[in-house]
Order: sequence, then structure tokens, then C-alpha cells
Amino acid sequence: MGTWEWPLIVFTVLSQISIGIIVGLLGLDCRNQLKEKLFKQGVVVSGILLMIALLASLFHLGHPEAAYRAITHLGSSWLSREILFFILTFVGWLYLLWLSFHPAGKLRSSLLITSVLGLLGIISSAMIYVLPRVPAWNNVAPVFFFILTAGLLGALALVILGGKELQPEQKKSLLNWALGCIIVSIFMFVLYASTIKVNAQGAATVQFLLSSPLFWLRAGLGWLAPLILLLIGLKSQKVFTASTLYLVFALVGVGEILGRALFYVSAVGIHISALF
Amino acid sequence: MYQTHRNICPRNCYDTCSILSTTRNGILISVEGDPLHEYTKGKLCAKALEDVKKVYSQKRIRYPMKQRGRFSGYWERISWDEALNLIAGTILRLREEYGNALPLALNKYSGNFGVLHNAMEGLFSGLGSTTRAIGSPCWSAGVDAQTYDFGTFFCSDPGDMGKSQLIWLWGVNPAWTAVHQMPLLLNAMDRGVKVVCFDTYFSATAARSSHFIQVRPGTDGLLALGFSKVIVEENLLDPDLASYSLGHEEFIQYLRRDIDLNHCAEITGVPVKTIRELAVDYAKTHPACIWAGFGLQRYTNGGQNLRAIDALGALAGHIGEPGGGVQYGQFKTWQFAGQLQGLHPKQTPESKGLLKSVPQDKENREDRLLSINNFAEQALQCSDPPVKMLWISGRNPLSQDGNLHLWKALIQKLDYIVISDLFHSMSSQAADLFLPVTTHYEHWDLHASYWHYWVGVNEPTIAPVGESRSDLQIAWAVSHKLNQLAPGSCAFPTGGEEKETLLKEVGPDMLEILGLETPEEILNGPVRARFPATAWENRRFKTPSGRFEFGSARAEASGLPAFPVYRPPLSPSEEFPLRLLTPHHATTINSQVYSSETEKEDFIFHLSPEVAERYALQTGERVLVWNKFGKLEGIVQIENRLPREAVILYQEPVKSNLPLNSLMGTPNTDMGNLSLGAPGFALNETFINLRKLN
Amino acid sequence: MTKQLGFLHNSEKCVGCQGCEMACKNEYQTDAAPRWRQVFQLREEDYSLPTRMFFSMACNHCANPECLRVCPVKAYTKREDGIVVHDHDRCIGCRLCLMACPYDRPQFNPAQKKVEKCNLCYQRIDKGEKPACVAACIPEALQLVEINEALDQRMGVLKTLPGLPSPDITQPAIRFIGPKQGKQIRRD
Ligand code: SF4
Ligand code: SF4
Ligand code: SF4
Repeated sequence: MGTWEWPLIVFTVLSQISIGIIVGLLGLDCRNQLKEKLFKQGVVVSGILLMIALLASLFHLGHPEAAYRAITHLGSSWLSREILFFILTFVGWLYLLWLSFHPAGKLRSSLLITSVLGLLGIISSAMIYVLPRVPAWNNVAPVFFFILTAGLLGALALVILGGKELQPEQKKSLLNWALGCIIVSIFMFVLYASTIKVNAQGAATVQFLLSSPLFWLRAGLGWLAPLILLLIGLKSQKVFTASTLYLVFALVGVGEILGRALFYVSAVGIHISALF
Repeated sequence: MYQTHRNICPRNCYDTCSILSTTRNGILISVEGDPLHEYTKGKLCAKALEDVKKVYSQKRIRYPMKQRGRFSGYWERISWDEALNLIAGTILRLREEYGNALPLALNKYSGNFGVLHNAMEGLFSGLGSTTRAIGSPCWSAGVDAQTYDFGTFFCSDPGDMGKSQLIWLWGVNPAWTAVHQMPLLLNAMDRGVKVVCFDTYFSATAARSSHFIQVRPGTDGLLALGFSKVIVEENLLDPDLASYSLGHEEFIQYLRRDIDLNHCAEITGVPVKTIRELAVDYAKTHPACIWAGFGLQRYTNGGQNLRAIDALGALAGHIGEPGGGVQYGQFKTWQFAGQLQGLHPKQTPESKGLLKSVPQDKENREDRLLSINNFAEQALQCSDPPVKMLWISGRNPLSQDGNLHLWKALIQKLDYIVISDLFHSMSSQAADLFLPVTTHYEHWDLHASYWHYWVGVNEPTIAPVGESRSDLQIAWAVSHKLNQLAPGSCAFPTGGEEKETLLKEVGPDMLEILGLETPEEILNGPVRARFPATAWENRRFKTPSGRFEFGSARAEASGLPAFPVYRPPLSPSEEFPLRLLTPHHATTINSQVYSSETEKEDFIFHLSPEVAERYALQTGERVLVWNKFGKLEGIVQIENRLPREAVILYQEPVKSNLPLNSLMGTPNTDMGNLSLGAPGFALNETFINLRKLN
Repeated sequence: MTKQLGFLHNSEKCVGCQGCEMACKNEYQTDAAPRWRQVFQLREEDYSLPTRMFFSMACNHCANPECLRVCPVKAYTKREDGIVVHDHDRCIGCRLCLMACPYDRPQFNPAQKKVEKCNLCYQRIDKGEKPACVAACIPEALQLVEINEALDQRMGVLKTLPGLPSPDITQPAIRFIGPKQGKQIRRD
């Protein structure tokens, strides 16, 4: 069984929201030209989250002062690649930040490049955990989970950030997207649980999750409640009140954080089974 | 700057390894075996390999300390001068008050078996007639048994076992307690030699033997008699028996008349068929060797058990046979001069106090001798004069003795308790004064083994850690202080050179045994005593009759059966139906702990599935184990191949305020008086009850 | 294939004395907690008869070292002779290798906040000496060997033991000689 990796939980969740926001901005921009204010807000918040995330990741290291060395094994280490992509994403973000103060042409392509770099960063993050030694992780699930977190929280964050700036249909498409992410997440989890069950360590992971109250809390708060709120809201065609939106974001946020914590805690590696 | 030195592991252990220690700029950095030593062959056991950590351990006491209130744990550092003043003051006051030195008692044993540690005995002898602990908690009954049978206590060179065609390991677990013998055993098995392991439980050695024979605790003697009976029935007796033994006819008659194989099988738990097969195999295979361990003689019938095994070896003609014999141990390589203890030069080696650890120079002194195993009980009975001051050295009686409540009572009555040790222990909690001693890397010393024939010198490798001092330095300093306060008050020397003192202990006897011209030669490295490899090779024995004595008049004179006959061990009662066995663990020597990192959270009681079922217990459950001496809590662990009527508790380091000996009384073994002056500790005769805790 | 040094452990001869573990500690004076080498007792349920059998394992200097693959700072290198060396100075304590090694052989030192592990005593090997653990093993149960076809063809040489992770993950450079059972007679 793994441990509560707080620095990693904070790092992965926050970095994923941050990149989710950028990707969301790109999506919105593709539909309608983005409003300047929304763009600026999105970029600033995304950047702050990314910086907190990167800072948090340092706390995981025994020697944060030597973190710069972590980029030296691109040949095979996904952690090196992750860091490279996040640094590049950060550079992209710097350019976006510059753009938000000096509006000029290349906005969409810059968003596109930053999004791609960010997504590569998220995929690298996930690939770190794809270890033959940990059957529960040794599959595509980590990649899906991490990207879904980005999509879900990124979209919801944008809805809240956008507020009045968003046109109703923009808002609606973001909420629809979030709803879709929740449904896919649930579906993915069921698929994940049934595939990893085939070996002893995977079964132990599933067993641990299903018997953990935290998991059910995560499923209830992070999936079910927002699912219902979003379904009702979207169906009734009424505008969501700001407080409902905050509630949905908070529920999903807690759910994802718990989910991530459980991701680490429930990992069962292949071990030597002997005495001592 | 790297330097190496020669050291010898000084513990109470078969192997007594020679060590090469390496220092860098005066700091000990590693230890390894000394390849010059042909028994330990340049390899050390896991315990010795931890020595560097031990020497520099944070827990080691580096300065003299005095405790404000016994068991208070409130220790304060004092100077050596203050410590010596306290000791000398107490000695002089008590001697003055009672008119003699008998209120002063020394309780010392095997914490460090180095010869220079006999300085403590020397110091006490220098004070006049004092009170001493004598005997041994370890092996007394067996030593006497072999002394009755062979005349003295001697074993073959352990390498001699390599010639055996059949090896019986009887109640010995070398995998854990004498690991340097294992290669020989494993190689023998590779050559097709059968190794049969007799034990009460499935030990690590048993797991590696060709056969494991589970014997009910305390019935080893009867099993040996059963084997002997088969040998008689099958007419496989050594044809030369009459030429070198005494009383074999009578013994054979006893076997014919009184030993019934069915009964033997029922009592020992070994089926008749197995007894027959093994006996025939043993009698027909030459050479065949038995190695008898110490555990089988820690019963009230312990001496008889070993005598029966000796007799079995003799009947089959294996005594004196190269690669044969009944091996138990030896003390022949311990013939040091004994000057340090103040021995009379005319004393014979046996009476030199080497075995008894207390020299008796009757002309000047009459020490009051208390059995080490009943020390507290006997000390409490001393009234004229009472025991008032106790010096504990190389011992941890509050962990290792039985009847601990008597120790508590004794502590109440004592004016002053001094302990010299490396670390705090259960016993130091009761002390008023703690004197920090040096390890074997910090002083000169001289060592022999009770198993192999090697003798060697231990050189100091590093300067003493903190203000620690060797026992010899402490003894000199105490004597110096005494003579300063009251000139002529202590006959022990007041100073000297450790190395010179050491060389003086290599007297003419030792030089002859080792084949050396001058004592200085021993400084070059370990030396093997020049005994023939096979004990009793010429079948001329040291008994009064000069023969192997099946019937011993000396035994009879001491009120023991003349012949090795079956005497049952104690049986469990209804109230305490389970026997408690406490074998050594690989990581400890008595209370000397090595792998501190493996300290257990709890006592672990190992039960056979049968016992567990009887008490409805599962592995991992908590139990209370108790008897009339005390109680302990712990965890149950169920294991196959443990005795059905016993619980096993290894002597492992446990985080607990109570020692496992809280459950021990002080049952005595049947023998021990002859060679050691006191009977041994029959600690396998401990009975308990247990119940599940919720 | 290039040269691959590794260990051969004989459970039949091993007495579980932990001498190898302590010899390693003695050689490198490591702190109490990290156990570069560790002696394990095989579980009784893995054999038909009760056993008291042990195996000793340090880093297996795998042909396919997962530790090396995941390490972001290139602290791990594989030498010509197959030894997987961990460079303590480069280590930043990210502990990814701890997650990746199926044998838990990289050990975290909480005081130094870095990982450390067995480097197969390469300094000794380069001097032509045996590794400290191998040199210390009294019954010669632990040996330094070259892992190759010839070894795997030898009678009784096993690639794994019950209770061990599949060797397919990292192709560890360790081989075993499994325990044999004595004839056991118990009282009935
Ligand atoms: S030193 Fe040898 S016998 Fe002892 S545990 Fe290690 S491998 Fe086994
Ligand atoms: S045993 Fe573990 S640490 Fe050693 S090479 Fe293999 S994967 Fe790496
Ligand atoms: S090879 Fe060296 S470093 Fe590795 S376990 Fe053995 S002694 Fe330790």
C-alpha cells in the first residue's frame, strides 16, 4: 500500500487544472474570439496554479536544491521528460502572459502550442506511474485519469473565472464538457477496476478502494453530486447561479483531490513475500 | 592512516573468533575475521560484525555515573576520583564495621571471558575473605557428567568431526550458536555423511540436517539408554570395552533389566522403529560422533542425560575414535598462570579456579561461596555478617537469574551496589554506581575457547572511548585508592602494565600446551594448543580408575546414581501445564544484544498447532503467560514442529521492562558441585500457564 | 550478451545468520535503517513441509534495471560488468526508484534524504576482492558469479524462488539453489 503523497497530490492536481484552463481557453477561442479580460484572467490564474504546483513538487524531493538535475535523463526517465515539458509549458505561459498585456495576433497558435506542451507534460506525469512493478498503474489508466482531471477542473475553473464575460452558449459548452468528463471518469474507473482485478496486486488495489470510505466519499462528492447538479441545471435551461457553480467546482475539486490521494495510497506493488 | 590490530571476540560463545580490526586515524572503522585462525577462518558472525556500531554506540556509558535513588534513572556524571572514593570508602567502612571483608560480594561471570578480567577476582582476594558467586548458569551439570565419565572435561578439536561418517547433533543448534561449525557439517552432508539432529523443536540446524528427531524435553537420557539397549540386544557392543571401561557389565544388566523400548518410545516421543534403526546405524558406522549441546543438561536430570549419552558413545566404541567421541566442550586450553587472581602456584589447573572462578588459597582466606544460580537467595540468608556491598561485573543478574523477587529483596538490604558494564542494563537500574568499562577494542587481553583449541591475544585497537577503563585498570585504581586512604588495606597491585600482566598469565603450563618458548610469541597471532585432535585417543582416562567409568564411585559418593540411569525431569502440574523453553537466538548472547534494529515490540510465544488449538489461539493474538514467579504478555506465533507440551520463547531483544526470566525460578541441575562448586541452572524446568487476552 | 556479474545464493547452505547483511553494514558503516542486503525467510506455506529456509538479497544488478530507467538524474549507471551503480552524490531523493524496483533494494535513508543501495562492492571487485557479504558468508552460501547460459544449465540452479516477483520484470542477476528437505521424524 502506498502513502499519502501530499506534495505529489498538490502538484499533479494543480498543474492539471492550470493546463486545463489553457486548453479551455483555446477551445473557447476556436468558437468565438476570446474576450481580452477573460483571456488575461485565465492566463494569470493558470500561471499562479502552475507555479504553486511546481513549488509543491519540490517538497517531494529529498534535496529540492538539486532539482535542476532532474532534467538530465530524458532518454528514459518520464520524470525528466515531465519536468522538461512543464518548463516549456511555463515558457509558453510567459509568452501568453506577455500577449495578455500586449494584444497581438498569434494568440490562438500560442494557446495551441502551450496546450500541446501542457498536455505532453500531463501525459509524462502519468507515464511516471506506468511501472511494471505496480500492476494497478501499469496500463493507460493513469494517463486517462490525469487528462480527465485537467479537462474537468479546467472547464469548471473557466466557467467560474469567466462569469459575466462568458456568453451563455460558451458557458453551456464548458458545462457540457465537464459533464462529459464526469461520465467518462466513472466509466473509466469501472473499466479500470475490472481490468486490474486480474492479478493479485491489482485485486488488492480494487479491494482497498471499494472498502475505503474515502473512495465512496470521493465517488459521491466528486462524481455523483456534481453529475446530478449539472444534469438538472443543464436540462432546466435556467442559468446557473454563481453559488451553484462554486458548489459544483468545490465538490469536483474535493473529489479529484481525494481521488488522487487514493491513487497513491491504493497502489500495491509487487513485493517479495517472505518473512522478516 | 590505516592500521590493523588483532582482537578476539570475548563473549561466552563456542567460536571465540579472532578478529582483525581496522582503524583510520585512530577511529575503528571495520572488523573482519583473522585468516590465521584455522577454526574461524577469517570470518565473523553477524554479532561481531556489528562491533563498530557497538563501540561507538550513543547508548554506551562513557563516564562514571552515580544514581540518585535506585531505579530512579536519575544518573549524574562523576569523576573517577569521586567514584573510587565512594567505592574505597564503602569497603573500608564495611570492613571496619564487621571486622572482616565478608560483607563485600562479587558477582561476575561471562560478559567478557578475557583472562585479564580476572582482575576483579584478584581485587576481591586482595581485600581478604569475601563473598563470591561461584558456579555457572550455563553448563555445570554436563561438565560434571563428563568429569565422572572421563575424569575431566575435554573434547576433540572441532575439526575432528570432519572425519566422521555419521554425526549426531544432540540438542545443539550451531546454525545459531556456533556458526563456524556449519561449513564442516554442510560439507560432510555433501559427501554423503548423514547428520542427524535431535532437538525438542525444529531448529535452524534441524532444518539443514539429513534427519530431524524430535525428542520430548528432558528425556534425552532415556533416549540414549534406549539406543544403548538396542546396541546390547543386537550385540553391537565394542568388543574392546573391557579393556578400557569400568562397570560396563553392570550397566548392560541395567539396560537389559530396566529399559523397555516401548516405554522409552512413549516417554521420548521417538518411535521404537526409529530408535532401532538409529541405534544400529550409530553402532555400525565408524567413526561416528555425537555433539551434545548445553540445553539438554539444563534439567533437574541434566547430568544424567549427558552421562547416558557418554555411555552410549562408549558402548558403541566411539570414544577415543578419531572422528568419534561425545563432544561437549573443554577447559584444557585455559591453563593460564592465575597470578592475577592471586592463585597459589602449587594449585592444580582444575583447582586453580579456572572452573570454579574462585581460587581457594586456604592458608590465608576462606571466602564465602554462594551459588551463582541461587545468589540472591543465599545472600539474603547470610547474617554473620550480612552481605552489604555488591559488585556486579560482566553480568546482568536482574535479567538472567531466576527468582527475581529475591533479587529485589536483596537489593533492599544492600548498602551499596557497583556495576561495571558497557551499557545500562536491567541490573544497572538497581546500582548506585556505574563504572564504564572498555570493549575488547580498547584493552589488552588473553582468550581461549571452550570448544576449539585456539588461544590468542587481544590488542587494544583504539584509545578507550570516553573515560572507560578495563576491569584490570579499575581493580588497580581501587586498590590504589584503598592503599592511599588506608595503607596496606588491599593486597592487589596498585598499578602496572596491561601487556606485562597479560604475558605473566602465559605461564609454563600454557607455554607447553601452546608449544611456545616465550610468552612474547603469543603476541604474533592466535596459536592452536598442541593437543592431539582426538580426545581420549589412547583411551587412558583421568578417572580414579583410569578407565571410562560407566559406574562412578565419585558420583555415588556425591549421592548421585553410580550409573547413568533414567531420572525423569520435572513434570508439569495441572496449574502450570506447559513447559517454557528459552533457547538462544542468533542475534543475542544471553542479555548481550547485537542487532539493536531488530528489537521486538513484544515477546513472541511460539506454539505448536496442538497447543494453539488447546487454548483456541491464533497467530498474532495476545496472551498472558504466567506462573508463580511472574507474568508476561506477548504475541502468539504458531509454528509446526514445536513440542506439544511446551512454549518456546527465544532470548531475543524485546522492548519490555520485564525480562523473560520473570517467569523463572531457580531449579538446580543434578550435578555441578564437583567441578564448579555449585549445581547448574535447570532453566528448562520452567512451567507456565497461558490465556488469551482480549 | 556482455558480462553480467551477479549473485548465486544457496538456500540449502544458508543458515539465515545475517552475517552477509552485517558484513555489508560493517564495510560501509551504513545507518541502522537502510538494509542494502536483507535476509528473508521463505514462508512455510510455499513449501509442502515446514522449513526454516532463507535467502539473502541485495540489489540484483538487473539486466533490465527499472531503477535506472526511471531515475531522472542519471544516478544509476550500468557498468561493463553489469553492476548497477547508484551515485549517491547525484541522488536528489525523489524515490522513484523505490517505486520501480520490485525487490525494494534501493533504500531511503531518512537522515540523508537520499537513496542508497548495494553497488556490488565494485571498489573491491576492481581490486580483485570478493564483495564483503560474499567474503563473510561462513557456509559459503552466497557467491559472486557471472550470470550466463552455463550457469543456468547447471543442475539445481533456479531463476527464482516462491514468493519472489517474476524475474521477467527486471531480469535480476541472481540465481538460487533451492532448499531440499531433510527426512523429518516427529513424535506421534
Ligand atoms: S551470511 Fe551466508 S549463511 Fe548467513 S544469512 Fe547470509 S547468505 Fe545466509
Ligand atoms: S534490484 Fe532493483 S535496484 Fe537493483 S538493479 Fe534491479 S531494479 Fe535496480
Ligand atoms: S555486494 Fe557489497 S554493497 Fe552489495 S550487499 Fe554485498 S557487501 Fe553490501
